Amino acid sequence: MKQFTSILNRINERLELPQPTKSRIILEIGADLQDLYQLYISRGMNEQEAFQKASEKYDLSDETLDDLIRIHQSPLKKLMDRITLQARTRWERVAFITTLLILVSITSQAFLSTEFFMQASKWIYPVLAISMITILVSIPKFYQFYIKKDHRIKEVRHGLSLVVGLSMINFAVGILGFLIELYAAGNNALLFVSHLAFISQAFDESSGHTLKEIISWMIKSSTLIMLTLMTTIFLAFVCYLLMNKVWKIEQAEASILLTN
Amino acid sequence: MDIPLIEISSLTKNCNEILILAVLVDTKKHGYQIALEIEERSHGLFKFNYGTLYPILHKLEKEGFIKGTWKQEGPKRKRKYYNLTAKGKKYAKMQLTGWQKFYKEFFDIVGGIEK
Repeated sequence: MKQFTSILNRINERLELPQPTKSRIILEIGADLQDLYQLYISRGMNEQEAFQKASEKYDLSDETLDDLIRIHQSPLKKLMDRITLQARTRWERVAFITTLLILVSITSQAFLSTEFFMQASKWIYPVLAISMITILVSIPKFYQFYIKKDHRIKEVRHGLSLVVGLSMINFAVGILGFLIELYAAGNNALLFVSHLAFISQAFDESSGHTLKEIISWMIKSSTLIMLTLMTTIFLAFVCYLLMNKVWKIEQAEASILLTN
Repeated sequence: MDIPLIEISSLTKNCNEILILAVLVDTKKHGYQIALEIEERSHGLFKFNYGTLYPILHKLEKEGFIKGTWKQEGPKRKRKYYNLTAKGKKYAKMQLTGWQKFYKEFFDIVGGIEK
């Protein structure tokens, strides 16, 4: 397969797919190329001609490779890969970590005070619970990659979808809580206005109560949103670390495959 | 499974699919063998860039019309063979009916040229 390394290398660089899938495609095309080359030799061509003709027959266009990606890439995997692909250079990683540190330093004071939790919406508890579960689920993956150094290609992606899925659920629950709080505050305010208007026509007091409802919602929801965004950014960082490691393991596997 | 409607816009796609399914009816084959057989049986009329074969093969495999099986051949060599599944056979027959319908309509129109 060595004479076709340049063709296979191009396929490897261009195919943005998880490594087991990519390896299988490269292996299949490589073996077929080799057989076609042998067939041309057996039909009387010299090595140079056979190589030339086989290479021409296997000129995989960008469109063909895109078709292969589309067939093998699930929407979730596409999203997971994008998380790492968007921050692959060193300066992008530095920018990512700096943003995270700035956010942590700004919000940590608020998080450390008990008042913050007293005023917060009750929705912060599911958000915190999901975040904790996500972190617990990701710990075995960190152990597998960084301590045990288990880089078996079949196992590297196992469990990653769960980490990404939980991170998304965490964000969704926070946003849902925010909207439900808004709806409840709006409902309470309206109810109070209509009752008072009916009983005593006390519009001034009722509008005062409405304002109180809105301010209460603002305090509850802002704390909820702060916590949701912070946990989401933190979990995105966790996903990034894991996905980046997977990408590196898969690249190492690909280079081994191509040199054989 | 409904009879597929062969449309002008998807002519190449449908043509490639039925050609692949047809050469897999008798025996299992691997990628380049499929392309080579189509080329040789059509006396060079249906020429493939072999690379374009893989997206079609993998799509048909994902849809369960063909089944790819890896076979170890020698210590360092693995090959992938494709064979037609029962679902694939049914689909191929449907495709054939679709093509017959397409050609009937086609020749109904162009057959008038001879008159």
